Amino acid sequence: MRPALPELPLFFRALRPRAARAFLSVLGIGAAALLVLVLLGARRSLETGVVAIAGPPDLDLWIAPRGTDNLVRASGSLPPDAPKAARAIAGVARADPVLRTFVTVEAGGRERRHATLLALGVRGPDGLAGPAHLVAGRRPSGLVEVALDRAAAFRLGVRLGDPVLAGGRPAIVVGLTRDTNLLATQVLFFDLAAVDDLEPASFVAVRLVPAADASSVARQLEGALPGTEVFTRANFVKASLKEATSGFRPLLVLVSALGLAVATALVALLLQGLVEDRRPDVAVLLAMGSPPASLAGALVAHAARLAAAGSVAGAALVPLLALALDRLAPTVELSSHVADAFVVLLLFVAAGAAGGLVPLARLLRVEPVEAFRP
Amino acid sequence: MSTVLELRGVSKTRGEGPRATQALGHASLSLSKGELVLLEGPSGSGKTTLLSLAAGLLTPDRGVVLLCGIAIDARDPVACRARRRRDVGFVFQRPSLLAGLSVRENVLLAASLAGLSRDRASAETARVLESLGLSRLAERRPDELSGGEEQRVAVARALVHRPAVVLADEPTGSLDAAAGRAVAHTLAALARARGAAVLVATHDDRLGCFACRRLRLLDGRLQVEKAA
Repeated sequence: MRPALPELPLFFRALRPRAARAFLSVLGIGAAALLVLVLLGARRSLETGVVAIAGPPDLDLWIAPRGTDNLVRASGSLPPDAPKAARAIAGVARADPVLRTFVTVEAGGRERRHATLLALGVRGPDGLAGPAHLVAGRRPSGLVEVALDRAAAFRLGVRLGDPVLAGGRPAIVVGLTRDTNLLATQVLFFDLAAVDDLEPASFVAVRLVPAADASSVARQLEGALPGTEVFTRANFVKASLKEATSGFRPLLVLVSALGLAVATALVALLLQGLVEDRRPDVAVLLAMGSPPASLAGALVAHAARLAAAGSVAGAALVPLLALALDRLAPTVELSSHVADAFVVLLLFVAAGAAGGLVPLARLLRVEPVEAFRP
Repeated sequence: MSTVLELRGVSKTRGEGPRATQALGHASLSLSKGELVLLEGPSGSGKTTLLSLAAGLLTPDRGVVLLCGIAIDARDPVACRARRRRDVGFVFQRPSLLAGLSVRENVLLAASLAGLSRDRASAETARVLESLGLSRLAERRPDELSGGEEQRVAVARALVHRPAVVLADEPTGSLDAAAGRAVAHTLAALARARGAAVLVATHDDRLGCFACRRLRLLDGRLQVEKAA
């Protein structure tokens, strides 16, 4: 019995394009894949930030004004006594107010810099919903202390201990946080201790006693606090993610589609030239009895391999780019993820295979009789 | 001697309508095992058409082509390809070696296509290259070979799988006298050693001394055979 296509590796070799052209095509495909991966990495980073501020592990429920289901875009406020009323419900271990607002922060000497940040006021240095990940310093305590996302500190050119003006009031940077970069803005934390229960809060963060039934406590809270809605941490995170990434998705889809189109075109262009160049070789192979399906398979597999090489090269550059951005421009954070790289690899391989269809049509029109008279 | 290739009353018309021309008219010939036959004639006389018909690359309008006693029909491409892989070797006008492959791989590909096992294909490739003194060139690319070397490799590729018939189209056409003679000698000697019949389409009179018979084609018609 005839062995199954033992000549396939040789077909690959026979159809191998010139190295320089192939390298440039792989480079182009890699750039397209990198573009898609950068967007995916930026979205991952945004998601990480949203999860960190909307779903810190120290709370179980969020109480929000009715009509508000997320931390990204909130409106309205809760009654000043909402935290106190919440604490009175059985099963609630702790209920802290959280004030969400935007604040313009100024810093620097002669060259003033300013940035508008998402400010979260939490109760004291151990208040619920405070900064989950500090990279330096500590949580703010008292009226004159703030903790900033490290990318915001980069934008403002400030370090730990530097003075800033937050909303026109003097403050000192006592902490730098991570996972609090929402790309369009970053997060600033301040202490609500001075205003406490007397000022209306945007939200109340609730921690339950161990073994308390979250849904039962949520129903009781909604009953005790008219005009509010209570969300589990998971639901609040989900809604916040939806709000934060909704504008990102169309851009991601568009850029991904363009990147895939570029990869398809590059592969098609390279292999079309290859088939034209190697037309006499193809005719010789066909005359010698090579099955057209084998040549077609080799060509499409070759196309897919080119695309795979490009996307692997692109994926390999993401960690390096992320590292460089972290050093040089931390406002653009990239969270590389193996699953993203795998999905991009599959998509680009499919795009490459699709790109192989155009030269395939050309290859299948080559007549074996051409071998006698090139 | 047993007949391995036979054309019986084969005709082929090229083109359609008023532009149709008869490329081959009622041609009959037979080749026996081990025989080397020259097919001579001016350009456009139908030599390539005859070779293409003999290989099953074209379908005759009339007549039949028998390869090893079995009709070969280009309208059944799967069977036709299988016959070509196993029973036919080709020497085309140069350059015909696959540019992306080394000498050894070019020869190995023909052996693999013929269905030889990996080990046997490798062994036959090594043997045929050795017998032609081409082993030292085994890892070279075609563009690193001289014209004569390239055609000798093409001869090795045509005969590595011990086909019944070798069809050669102007194998010495673009070579100088010495290289052409060397290629012709190689083709004749290796075909004889491997028991293959060889049909060579050529303008080159120098090949006459290697031929058993000489056929002449003129305007698509085979003339009376003359002894070599």
